[in-house]
Amino acid sequence: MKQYSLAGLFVILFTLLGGAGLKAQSLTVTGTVEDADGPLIGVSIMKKGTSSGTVTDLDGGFTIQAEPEDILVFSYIGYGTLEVPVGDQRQLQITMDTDANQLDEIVVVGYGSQKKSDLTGAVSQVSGTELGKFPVANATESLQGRLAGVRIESAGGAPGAGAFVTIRGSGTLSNAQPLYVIDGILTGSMDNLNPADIESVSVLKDASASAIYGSRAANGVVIVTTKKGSPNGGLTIEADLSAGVQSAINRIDWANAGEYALIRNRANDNDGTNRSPANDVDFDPTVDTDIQDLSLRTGAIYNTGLRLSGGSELFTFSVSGNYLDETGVVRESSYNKANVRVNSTFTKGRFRLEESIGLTRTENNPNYYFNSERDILPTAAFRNPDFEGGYAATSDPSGSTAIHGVGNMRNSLAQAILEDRTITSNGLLGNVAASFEIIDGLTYKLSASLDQGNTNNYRFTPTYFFNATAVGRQNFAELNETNSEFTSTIIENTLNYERELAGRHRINLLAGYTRQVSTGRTLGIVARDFPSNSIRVASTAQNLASAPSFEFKSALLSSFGRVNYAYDDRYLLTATLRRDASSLFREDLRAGVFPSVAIGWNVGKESFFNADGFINDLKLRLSYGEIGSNNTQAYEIDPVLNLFGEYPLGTNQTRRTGYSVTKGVNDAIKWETTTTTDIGMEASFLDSRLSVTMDYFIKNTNDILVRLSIPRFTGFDNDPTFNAASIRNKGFEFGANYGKFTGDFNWSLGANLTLLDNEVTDLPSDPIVGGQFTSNGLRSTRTEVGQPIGSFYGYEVAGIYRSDAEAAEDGRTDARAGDFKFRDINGDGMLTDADQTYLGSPIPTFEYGLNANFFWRSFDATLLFNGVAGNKILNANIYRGYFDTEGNYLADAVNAWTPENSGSRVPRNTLVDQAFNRRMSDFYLESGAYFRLRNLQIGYSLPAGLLEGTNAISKIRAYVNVQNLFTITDYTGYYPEPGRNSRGGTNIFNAGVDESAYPMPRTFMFGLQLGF
Amino acid sequence: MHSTIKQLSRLCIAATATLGLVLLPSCDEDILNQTNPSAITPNSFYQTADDAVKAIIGAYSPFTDIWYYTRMNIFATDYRDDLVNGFGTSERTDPGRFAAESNKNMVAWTWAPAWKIISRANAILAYVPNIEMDAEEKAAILAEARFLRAYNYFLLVQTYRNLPLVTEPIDLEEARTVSQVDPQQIYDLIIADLKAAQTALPAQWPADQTGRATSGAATGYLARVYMSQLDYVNARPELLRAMNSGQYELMADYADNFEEASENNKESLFEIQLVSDGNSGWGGDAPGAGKGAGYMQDIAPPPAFTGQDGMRINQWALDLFLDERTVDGHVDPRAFTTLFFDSDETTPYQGRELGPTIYGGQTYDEVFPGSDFVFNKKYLDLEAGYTTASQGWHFSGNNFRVLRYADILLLFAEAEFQLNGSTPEALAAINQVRARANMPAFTIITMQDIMDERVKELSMERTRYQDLLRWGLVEELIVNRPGVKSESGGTGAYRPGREYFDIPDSELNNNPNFKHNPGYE
Repeated sequence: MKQYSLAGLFVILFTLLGGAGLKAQSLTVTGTVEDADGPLIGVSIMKKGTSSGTVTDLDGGFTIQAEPEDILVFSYIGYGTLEVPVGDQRQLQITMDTDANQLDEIVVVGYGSQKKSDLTGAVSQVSGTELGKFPVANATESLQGRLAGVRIESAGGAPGAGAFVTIRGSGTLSNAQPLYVIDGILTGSMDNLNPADIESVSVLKDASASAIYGSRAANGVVIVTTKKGSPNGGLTIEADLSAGVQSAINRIDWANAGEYALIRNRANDNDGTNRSPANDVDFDPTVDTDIQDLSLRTGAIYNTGLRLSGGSELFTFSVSGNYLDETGVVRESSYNKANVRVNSTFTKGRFRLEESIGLTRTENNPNYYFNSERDILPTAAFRNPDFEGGYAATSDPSGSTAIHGVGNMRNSLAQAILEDRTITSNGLLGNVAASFEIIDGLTYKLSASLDQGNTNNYRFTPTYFFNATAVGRQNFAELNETNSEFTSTIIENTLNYERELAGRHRINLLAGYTRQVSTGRTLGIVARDFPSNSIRVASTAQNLASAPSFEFKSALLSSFGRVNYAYDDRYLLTATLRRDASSLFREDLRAGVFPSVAIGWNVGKESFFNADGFINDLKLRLSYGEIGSNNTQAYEIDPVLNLFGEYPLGTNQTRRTGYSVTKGVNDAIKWETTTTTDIGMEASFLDSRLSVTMDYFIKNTNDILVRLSIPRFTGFDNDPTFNAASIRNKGFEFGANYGKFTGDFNWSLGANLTLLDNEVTDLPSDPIVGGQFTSNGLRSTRTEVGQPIGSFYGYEVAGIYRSDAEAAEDGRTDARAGDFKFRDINGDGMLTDADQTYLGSPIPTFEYGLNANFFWRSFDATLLFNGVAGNKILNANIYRGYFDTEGNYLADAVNAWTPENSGSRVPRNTLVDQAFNRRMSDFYLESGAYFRLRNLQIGYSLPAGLLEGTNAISKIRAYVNVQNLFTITDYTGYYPEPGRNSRGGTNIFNAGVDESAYPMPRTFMFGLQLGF
Repeated sequence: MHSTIKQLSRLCIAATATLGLVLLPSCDEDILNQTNPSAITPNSFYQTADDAVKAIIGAYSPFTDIWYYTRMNIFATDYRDDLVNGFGTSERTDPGRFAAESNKNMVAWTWAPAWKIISRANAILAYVPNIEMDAEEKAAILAEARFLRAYNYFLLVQTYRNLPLVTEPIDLEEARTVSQVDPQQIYDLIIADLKAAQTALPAQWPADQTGRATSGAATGYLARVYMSQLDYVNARPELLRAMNSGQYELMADYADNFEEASENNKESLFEIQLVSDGNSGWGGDAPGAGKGAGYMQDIAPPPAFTGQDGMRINQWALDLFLDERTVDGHVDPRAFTTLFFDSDETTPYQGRELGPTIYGGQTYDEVFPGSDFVFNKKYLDLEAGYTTASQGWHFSGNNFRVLRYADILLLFAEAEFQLNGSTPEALAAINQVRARANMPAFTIITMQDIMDERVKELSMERTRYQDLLRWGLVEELIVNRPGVKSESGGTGAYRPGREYFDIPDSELNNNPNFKHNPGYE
């Protein structure tokens, strides 16, 4: 790797030296912008390659500081973008044309870029100007609500929490995410990017667009381009400072001590068991612990960013730094991230060198314990100075929890306070690419990329005592620390030929060969028994319990080719072929070939088409192709000898080591394949001010790599991977943009919506059961043919028995008055397993986003709404709050059924729960639909006139940003976007299960942007 | 050689980087051949005597898996009998309320570890014969493998009834085509294995090997298997063989069978070896994981002494104990060792005063004021000084005694009684057990006496459900007896055939030849 870092250092050095020699020769340019009807208000004027610029005022006028080398970019929704070199002009008269429409923007695609009118695939692009506007910690999250067909699920509201990205529905059962291509580097995530560094994001949604990435593209491709300097001979400095506060949007109405005691006593009475002293004779009115209130707080966010950019014809550069610090709305959770990015380009004649290097450091201190099951009861004291650590989870000075009548009681907050947790990561994402134009139109490019990361995951649990139960004490201090290193290198050769023949034929040929090698190495340690709680390194431990470690290496060799052909700009053809060979598969199954073909027809360019009619432009697209996924672990097909069996033998019972084979192997696995058919239409209306894109797609994924259970009588205890299932996603996507001005102010609107139908079409094994939401073993989802992935499955509650006789009539010997009546779905007069049914899907069938920009004089406002519908969320707080025998109740459990309150929807309070009321049922499911104002930003820019006198400052903008100002939802948990953090992990079969979700905050921020 | 390849591939990288497309893509295809650097492949195993020992230890390892004796086994055994009334409806009480359907966790959990041992035993029987090693040691290891295979097949056939017969290593393809066989074929294999083990296993292992199966264990198990078939003719001589071996006798103190301090004692024929050393995992095939008695959470009285739902003991069992008195007029000392109940009495026994006390000397009235529920006390290991749930999951290293001499004596009394009636031999055997508990000797016995004695002597030792099964009393004593499972919703789920579990979904769905058990179709 040495050569890469040396190259990087050289580039940084060179960039800095070059940058120092630049001189700014600023001059003031004024002008007006109009169209055939008169002045245009709110036209965006940017200096090309920078993010500094201005907008036209009420009279269509503008003033901007620029250098002669600058190119001004005039853009306005519904109008063709104009680029005007400044030269020696001081006064500009610009006329914008509605005829040249939006379709001609340049779109980044795999290994290149294309005019939008030449595209044959389904590609959505969003500009960095839009994404960088909102101060969010996670770049992935900034895509939310922006793009039709792209679902972004926040992984809860924790600081630094990632997001799950699903493009056109899940076509996999392995939780695979899209492929990210960041400045040509193929990687697994864009979480660590600085959102302000993004120039544009392109999402390749159909096979025609993504097939060039072959085996990596089955879950879609997200191409991110970062900001480069502008070759205008100038130097631009931009700073963005923001700070804000955040707090949880919603709280859960848990019972207080009095309510808890009432509910629990009633349950004991109903069961004929003794009341617990702490709830009855020994009830202590001075204790009322509200763990939720103790745990939540107002968090803070600070963000500082600085960018220097500039360049000349020979080279450009952009250097940026960003630091973000966030304390979460739950105590003992915080996150910070530092980014540095250096991008530069060097051009001389036919030779061009580009580099892009991003460095990231994150420190994450998560609170894993908030809202855990069986947390401290309101009747139990939170502190006890006599206990080790100073905290408690019982009111009994002896530490017993018997007076509370429970055998488990945590103290989630004290545990988080006493325990030390930090995950520190350093990452480097770098690319150096050199290209040479051998003859006109024929370019060879060599690109080398490095994706490297080091993570230290550290957790130290000191000894403490909250109570005498197993979950309330730590008898020995334990250190759990893991260091891991990951490196991925890609060397890529491409040859590109672009030629226009006889005026009407345009052809673009691409051929390439790439080689990617990934390696990883992990060393962990579990150490116990430390001389003191304050010494927290493994070497001092008396007991080095285990050192889980592993190493892996995998490789992928690929060659690919693509033909783009356009006849007379009217008829378009794209054909792609990629061959991949992966080390993850057996030699004879290693290679996969992925073809795609697409055609397009620019109807609007036909002579018969009347562009001045109702429709101003029209294009039709059709594509078909196959893409793959090799989403399985390294060495999945290798048999292994388990070295860790043990049995204690001898009079002193020494553990003896035993070996055995525990892993069953299916070495016949190969690529999973996704076949996508896409029909698309793009059109513009209303003098091209309204542009509309529509796509219908059918995405069939076959041979899905999935871990399936195997007969256990083989003695194997793993779930080997098989190419087994098939999934179909069908959907419709709609996107529209509209811009218009009325009187004083003008505005633009963008809308997108997605309809999705996800269905498992083949699964040769038993249904896959998942979605566990309590330690009591109940599980909530099933994946089975004919249903969406991970659908909720269980009983339907049909009401509450009003009398014992009513229960007896249903043959329910276990139930009586006040118990749930479950629907006898198969009508056999008995309540059996066969009465379970599908209760809803965690996957929204409908998603939509709406963004609006308003400009009024020096003010601007941006609103981003989004929403989902058609999905269900399992709210585990309902399970816990009415049924768990050891945790706190919801305050509403007071309103449970009693003979006097026979109209209640909540079954009678009981601990024994003879009728098994708490079985998985639709009682726990709530609508996951929501509509929210995701972001609201109001900004004020000092008018350019005011800044004229100051040579140094070219831009001052102040803004206020509110995230999640309002959310309309019926969901009663913390937030209808729970992420995937239930006890089953981030597994796709746990989607929509809200067990201990970190509350999504509402964030208020104030920011200042400066340009120099 | 290796470095040459490395150099070549380095050359490849350099060449690819400089020449790019001109170079053939096949140049460094070698990089695609990756083998796991973190693991050993099984191919190099079963070569040496040490490998054979490691393999047999590996076969014992699943005994301490959470799915087996460190926890779940109790839910497939005692939690199903007529004494235990488990609290709550959960995966743990599903089998007890006859809801052991194919999709239930417990059905899958208790199936897998027994098969792990069988598959490891099969591998030993297939590969160890080819190892060049000391013949005696080899024969012992092979016999041990047969014992372990028989032991686990017996548990499986008694729980699931209709099994595939697998006696050799099997791969995933074959596993999908095997069929279930008549249970008699399984019993035939068990008996053949135990007979072979009986002759080839040592009577005793060296002190540093204590815990491995002995010939006595094989003999005792063979008798138990015959008894499960009501085959008294074949059972009786095996029981006699154990009794006449001179290796076993009753401990003077009944409680010694349930305390960590007196493990692997002279009354014991086979024990699951458990050790508590602070590791808190769940046994099985992971390094440094728990090997202690995690099941204690499920037998300690709730909620005071366990964080789990736990269970209570049905009143009839206490009544049975209290029906008779010791020779000096006290409560049966086994009652105070087995049960925790409200009583004003105490029994002097072996120099101690037994009474209604539990951990820390707390009395019943202190722990459960005003209650009259009966709870379990056996195996709680009070003498070891442990205090209940407070110590975590594997706080007790108390071995679980799977087969002890008192059981042999009572089985002999039963076999003798069934064959010859209330003979002096039968009386001698049962009275030997009673005498240890200061209970008066019988002068004549009935089958009911033997059945009752087994409750008093062996409750909570995972034999009661097996007893009911062989006597054909499951329906009468559990299903049709109101209140036996009242704390977990009753026995309404019972259908004929549900004395056994269903076959787990993992087997039914991955092998078209497998069928549900009767009562679950």
